[in-house]
Amino acid sequence: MATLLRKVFGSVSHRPGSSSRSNSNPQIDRFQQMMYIQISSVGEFDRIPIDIFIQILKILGPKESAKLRAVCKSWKYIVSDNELWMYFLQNQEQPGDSILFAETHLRSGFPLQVFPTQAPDLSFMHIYGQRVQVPGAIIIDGGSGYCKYGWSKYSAPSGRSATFLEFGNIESPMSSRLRHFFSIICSRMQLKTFTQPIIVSIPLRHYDDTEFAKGSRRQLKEAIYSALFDMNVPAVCAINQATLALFAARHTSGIVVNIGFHQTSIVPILNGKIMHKVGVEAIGIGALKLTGFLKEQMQQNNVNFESLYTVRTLKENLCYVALDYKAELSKDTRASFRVPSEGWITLSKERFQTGEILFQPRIAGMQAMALQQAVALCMDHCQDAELTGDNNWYKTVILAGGSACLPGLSERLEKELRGYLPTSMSSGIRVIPPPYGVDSAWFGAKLVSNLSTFTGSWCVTKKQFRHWSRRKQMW
Amino acid sequence: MSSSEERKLILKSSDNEEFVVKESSAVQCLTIKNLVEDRCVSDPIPLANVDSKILALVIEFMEKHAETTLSNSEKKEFDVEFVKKPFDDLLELILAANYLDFRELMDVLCNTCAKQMENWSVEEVREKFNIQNDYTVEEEKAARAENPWAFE
Repeated sequence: MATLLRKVFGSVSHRPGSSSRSNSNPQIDRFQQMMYIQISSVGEFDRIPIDIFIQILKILGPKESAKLRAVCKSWKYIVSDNELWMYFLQNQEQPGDSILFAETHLRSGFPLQVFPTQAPDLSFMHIYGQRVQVPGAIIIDGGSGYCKYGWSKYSAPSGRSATFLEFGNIESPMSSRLRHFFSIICSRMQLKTFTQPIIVSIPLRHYDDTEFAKGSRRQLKEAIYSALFDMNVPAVCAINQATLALFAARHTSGIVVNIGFHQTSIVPILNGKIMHKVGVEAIGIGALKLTGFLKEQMQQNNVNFESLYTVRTLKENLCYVALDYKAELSKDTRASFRVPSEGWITLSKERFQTGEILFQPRIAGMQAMALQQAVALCMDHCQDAELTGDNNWYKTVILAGGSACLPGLSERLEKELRGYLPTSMSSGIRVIPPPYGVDSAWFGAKLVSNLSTFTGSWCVTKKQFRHWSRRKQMW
Repeated sequence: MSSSEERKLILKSSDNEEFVVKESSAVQCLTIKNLVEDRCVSDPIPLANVDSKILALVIEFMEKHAETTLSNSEKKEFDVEFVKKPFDDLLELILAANYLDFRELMDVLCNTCAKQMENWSVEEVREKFNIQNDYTVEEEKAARAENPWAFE
C-alpha cells in the first residue's frame, strides 16, 4: 500500500504539465481511505499510477471498465470513480452538461424536486448503467405550424411535417382527431407495432386561469393519452411544449417566449409547472405574420412571389433583428441569397424590418402588444405573485420556436427589457436564444426520454391511465 | 542554431549503463526537456527509475519518432511492431514513459494495453496483472450484479 502511495505522489509531482488535479487530488484522498481497508498484494498493478490506469479505462470504454470491477476490491473503487463515468456520459452525443442537468433536476418526474440532489451523492456509474437500459422513446412534437418527430436515440428529428391537426371548432371529437394525427405520424415513421414509449409535446392552448380553461387543458391531455393508448402504445409521457423548451435550455424555472406559427406565448414556469394563475400572455404575432409582412415589403419593391415558402426561405436566411433600429436604417444592409429556381434575391431594409414588427407592431399596422411589453408585464405579474422567496426565477427568459432563431433577437429583447423595466427588476435579466435552433421542444423531449428514470418517473402506462381516469385524479 | 542538431546527451540507467542520444530526440521526453531548458544538465543524466533494458527500448522509440524523414504511416508501422512485446515489458515501458513524460509513447502503450485487455476475462486480467482476488464468492457475485449490462 505504501509503495502505491509513493508511486502515485511520485508520478503526480514529476509531471509538471499534468492535469489540474495535481493540487487537490481526490484520488489520493480516496486512497487514504483505502489504507484502512485490508487489501492484499495487487502485484504488477501496484506500481502503475492511478491516472494512467484511468487513462486506459477511458480507452477501454464503459462496458469493459464496468466488468473490471469484478477483478478485486481496489479496482472496484477505482472504476466507480464519478469523474470517469462523467467522461463516459459526456462522450454520448448529448452534451454532458445537459445530461448532468437532467439527471440532477429531472430524476423524480412531476412534481420536480425543488432542491435537486447534489451531484456527489449520485453514482454516475449507476446513472450510466440505467441510461444504457432505457429503451428509448418516440418523440412527437406537434405545434400549430409544424410537427417534428423522431427517435430519442437519434441526434435530431427524423421528420418534419406541416401540422394538419385542427384544434378549432370542428365536428369530430378531439380524441378521434388526435388518433388520426398520431396514426399518420406513426405510419410516416413506419411504425407497425409499438414497443417503445411515446413522448408527446402538448401545445399551449387555453392558457387562462379560468375553470373552463383548466378543464379544456385537462381534456386535451386526457384525449392525447387515450388516443395513444387506444393505439396500443405501452407508455406515454405528455409534457407541455413550453416546459420542454425550458428543459432543453437546462432550466426548470423561467419565462419561455415561444414564437409559434400563429402566435407568441409568454409562459412563466416555476419548477417545471406552468404558472397559469400568474398569467400566460399571448401576442397574435407568429411566424406566419412575419413571413406575410416580408412578402408585403417585397411587393412594395415589385418583387412578387406566389408561394410563401420562398418568402419563408428568404426570411430564414437573410433576416435578422437590429439592436438599434433607427441606426440600422441608415446603414447599407444589402445582402443576397440564392433561392433555387428563382435565382439571386437581394434584400436590404426588409432584412431587419421583418423581425422589428415583434418590437414595434405598428410598423405592420397591428394593434398588438409589443414583445418587450408583454414579457415585462409577465415579469410584473410574477413579481407580484411572490410565489417563492427567490425573486429571480422569472428573470431568465428562454426563447423558443423557429422565428426565435432570428440573429440578434435575444440581444435586442434583453436590451429592450432593461430599458423598459425599473432597475430593481431589470438587474439579472438574461435572454437565452433557442439552445437547439428550431427544435427546442423536441430536444427537451429527447433529454427527458433518455433519463435513467424515464420509464419509472415520467411515463404513464395504459393501466395507470385507466385507473386514474376512473378516479379522475389526473392533474 | 546549427549546433543544436548535433548536441548529444548521455542518459544513465538505474543499473549504471550509459546511452548516448541526440538532444533533439531526447527532448520528446518532457522531463529531459525541462532539465535541458533549466540548464540543470549534469553529464550523464541519471534516470533512477528506468533500467537499461527498458531505456534501450525507449531510446529506440524516441529516435524513430524524431526522424523527420519518416512519414506518419511508416511510424505507425513501427509502432505496431514495437508493441509486440510481453505484457510485463509493456507495463515497465508505461512506467518509464510516465516517469520521462513521453506523451507519444504513453499514448501508443495505453492504446495497446486497452486493446489487449478488451479480450480478457476477469480471471485473465487477474493473472496478467498478478492480482490476488480479495472478494469472497458472494462479494464477487454482488459486484458483477451491480452492472449486469456490462456482462451481456
